[in-house]
Amino acid sequence: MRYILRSWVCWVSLVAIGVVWGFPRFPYYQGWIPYGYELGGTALVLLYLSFGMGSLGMYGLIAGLNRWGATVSQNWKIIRIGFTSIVLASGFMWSYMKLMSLTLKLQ
Amino acid sequence: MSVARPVLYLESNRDVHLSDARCLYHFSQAVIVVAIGIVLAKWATGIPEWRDVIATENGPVERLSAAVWFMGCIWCLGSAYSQRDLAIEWLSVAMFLLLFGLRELDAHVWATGWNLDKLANYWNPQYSLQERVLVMGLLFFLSLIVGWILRYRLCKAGRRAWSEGEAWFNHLLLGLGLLALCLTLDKVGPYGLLFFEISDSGQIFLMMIEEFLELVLSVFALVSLWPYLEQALLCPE
Repeated sequence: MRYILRSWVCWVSLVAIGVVWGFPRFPYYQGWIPYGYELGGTALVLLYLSFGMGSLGMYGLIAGLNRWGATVSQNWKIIRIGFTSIVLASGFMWSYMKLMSLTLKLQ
Repeated sequence: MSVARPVLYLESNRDVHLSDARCLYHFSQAVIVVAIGIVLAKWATGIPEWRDVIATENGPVERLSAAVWFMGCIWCLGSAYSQRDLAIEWLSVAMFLLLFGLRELDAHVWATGWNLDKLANYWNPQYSLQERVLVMGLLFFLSLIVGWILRYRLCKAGRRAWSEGEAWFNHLLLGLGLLALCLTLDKVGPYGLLFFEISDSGQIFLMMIEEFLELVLSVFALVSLWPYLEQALLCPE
């Protein structure tokens, strides 16, 4: 299990499932909008970044809760990085929804 | 308790050392994972045509490429925070990955109204000379910043890696080669190859190869960085 969680394939797959399967099911998602509107494009970039932050956050929490060769103080720092990433990811997703709703209203 | 560092270890700032030479192994890993990923993406989205899966704007493959670039960017930012003495290197890599991700989503087109990839724009009289000079000046300024970072932070490590044949340099060369191939394929389709015009089906085929290689390039970049990212994140200072 440890080797799976530490492999890049695991985290790339998670993000890939998010963007291929998850994106079209996300609130306000309109695939064509980013190519026509600046706000829509910015919103999509924020959504991508939030997925990256989400994966880093989950990795940080999992790595921090396991030893994986680090000291306790190092583990606390990894948990802090993970927690901050997840909070930032939530903020970016919220910004995405705000921008997309604004874009749809402006049409 | 002692800290068991991962196998690959950045010895110090500007002294990048990677002893494990597995450039082609990483490349083949990236190709296999991307091929499996595309098959799964086609199945998951239910899009009937391969062409629509691989070579459409904001299609599954383009979304995957952008997602991997942005994911790499965020993980590099996390590493910059975690490994402070290499923060400038990590921030530089994050900036490059962010630019690649933005380029994948054509951000320069919808954000500025200018297609920087389209070379014909630079001598198109439809745009004012002032505007064209401004864009070129901006590009020149950005190139200067990149050049400064490369000169002062990576030049010494690069020279040593070149003379001693270190593995990360091979990764870099292969990545640059792939990038050049993608750019060539991107331009060969619409502009033709020397005196040969490319048919419509040929253009779509070239576009599919280009999008596939772009996804391979993004995954290859992440795979190459992975040991460094793990080291930075698992052993914060």
